[in-house]
Amino acid sequence: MPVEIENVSYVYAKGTPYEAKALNRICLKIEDGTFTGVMGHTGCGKSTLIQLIAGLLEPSEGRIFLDGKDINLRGYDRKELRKKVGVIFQYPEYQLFETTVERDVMFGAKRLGLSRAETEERVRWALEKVGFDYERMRRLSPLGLSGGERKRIAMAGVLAVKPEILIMDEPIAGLDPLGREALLKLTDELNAEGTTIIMVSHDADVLAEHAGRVIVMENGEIAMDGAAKEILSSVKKLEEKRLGISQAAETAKLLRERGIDIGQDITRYDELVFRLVSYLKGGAQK
Amino acid sequence: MNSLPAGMFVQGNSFIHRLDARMKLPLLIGLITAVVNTDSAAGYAAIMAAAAGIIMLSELGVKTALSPAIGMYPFFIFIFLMNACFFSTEDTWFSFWIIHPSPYGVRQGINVVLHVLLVIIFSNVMTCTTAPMEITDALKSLISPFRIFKIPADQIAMIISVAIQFIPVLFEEADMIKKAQTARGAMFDSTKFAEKAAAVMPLVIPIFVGAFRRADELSMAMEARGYGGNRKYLKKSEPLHAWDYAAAAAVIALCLLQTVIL
Repeated sequence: MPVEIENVSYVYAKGTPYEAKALNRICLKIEDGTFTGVMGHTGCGKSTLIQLIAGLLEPSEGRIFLDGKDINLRGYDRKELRKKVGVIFQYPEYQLFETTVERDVMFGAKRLGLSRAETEERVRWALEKVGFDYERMRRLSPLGLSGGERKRIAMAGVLAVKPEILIMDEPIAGLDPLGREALLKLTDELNAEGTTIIMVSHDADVLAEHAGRVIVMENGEIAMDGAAKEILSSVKKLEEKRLGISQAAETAKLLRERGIDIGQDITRYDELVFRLVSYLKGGAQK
Repeated sequence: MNSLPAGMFVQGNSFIHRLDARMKLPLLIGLITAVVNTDSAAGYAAIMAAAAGIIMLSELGVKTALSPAIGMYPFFIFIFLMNACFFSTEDTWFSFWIIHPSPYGVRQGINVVLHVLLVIIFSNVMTCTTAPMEITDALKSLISPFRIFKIPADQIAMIISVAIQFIPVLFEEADMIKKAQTARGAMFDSTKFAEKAAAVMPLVIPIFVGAFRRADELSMAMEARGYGGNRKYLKKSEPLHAWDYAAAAAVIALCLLQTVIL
């Protein structure tokens, strides 16, 4: 179920003194089962882009296809879109409202037309996926839990729909290191099971370790687009755009500046260690 | 957020923008008084000319200045018909059940519609040309004389300014929550009443929870920085300019013209 974006532009507050162009003629295709990272500064249009893909905004110009169907055509079934595309916003904990955790997680899933038993099974699955014990959590009030717990409950609510495309907007912002690891592991698991992941993040480390493809946005346009390795190892270009580079790439760069060239294409931690070890071993042999 | 709320401040440097809010606020009240006192054709002509002049001076553009009033046309039609049909039982054209259209009613209807219309236009120009902070500063300085009657002017001003500053924040948060709930299946744009009604709770509860959370955080942050409701933070205000007095003179002249001559 690829997402195809054709010449899409988006203008905020059109026709008012506050008019602002957020996206300018974007063309993009996102294939099934891929893990795409989106990078860029605040105001570059990345949030607008994902909201357009999720059908939450309507493009000012251009068309967006999901599964070959234009999602902004009058006759398009929005319920179908909601089933297929899940969105985890930056502060998902603010969307909780139900009286119990179970009912909140069920909110989206119960609209799928599943049987009661199946829906409950989905809720159990989703809660366990985010690391909760279903029996212990189901009857608690979501609003009485801690911030991190609420975040995970809200994510479970999105996962329970089992979307084929999962969009995440800065999901790791505000998470503790453990929560961050758990979330990224969960994302990789879902991706391995076939879910398409689109993740907005300005953390180059996360994208280097997890994404297959990286898109860099600038002023409402796509500035760079390609394999994660290729994009994230273009250290110079990224630094020109004042974007962060991964720690592994940074280390390799600093070593290179000191005359220790272990390769220019290092973006991941394990690669760095591997190359460094082979370099040091080679050095010892000389 | 694709449409802006009516009356939102528009950056600018026109004559009306530069008028001191401490003067603009009482002048707005003066203009409203003049509007309410108007009931003759000549009076309306004068006040509409004044409105046109103010809109031109404000450099807002006719569309921005008039759009909130135009957007309310169903309301205007409604109040006109209410007045025209129910105002008077004397001298009616015809009577049917409780409906008695009469020339008095029509006259009254036109009056009410024009009064509301003009008040909206003047208020809209005021909020479009005055930054929220200026309005609150003006309120603060206008209510400060009441301190001698033990009215907590500073606290009231702080409450108003915090409330005004929170409007865009809450607006944005409401937009985000609406999108998040839409993404997981709430149907705000549904045409079916039941679906629409069911979508209210997922929106209202998070907005309230968020508002309380923000209020809590802000009050703690203010206390942590030493706020105690006293007036030490008051900043010195600038004196009024000649053009502020000129504008005041113009409005007073208009009011006198309305009440005495027309």
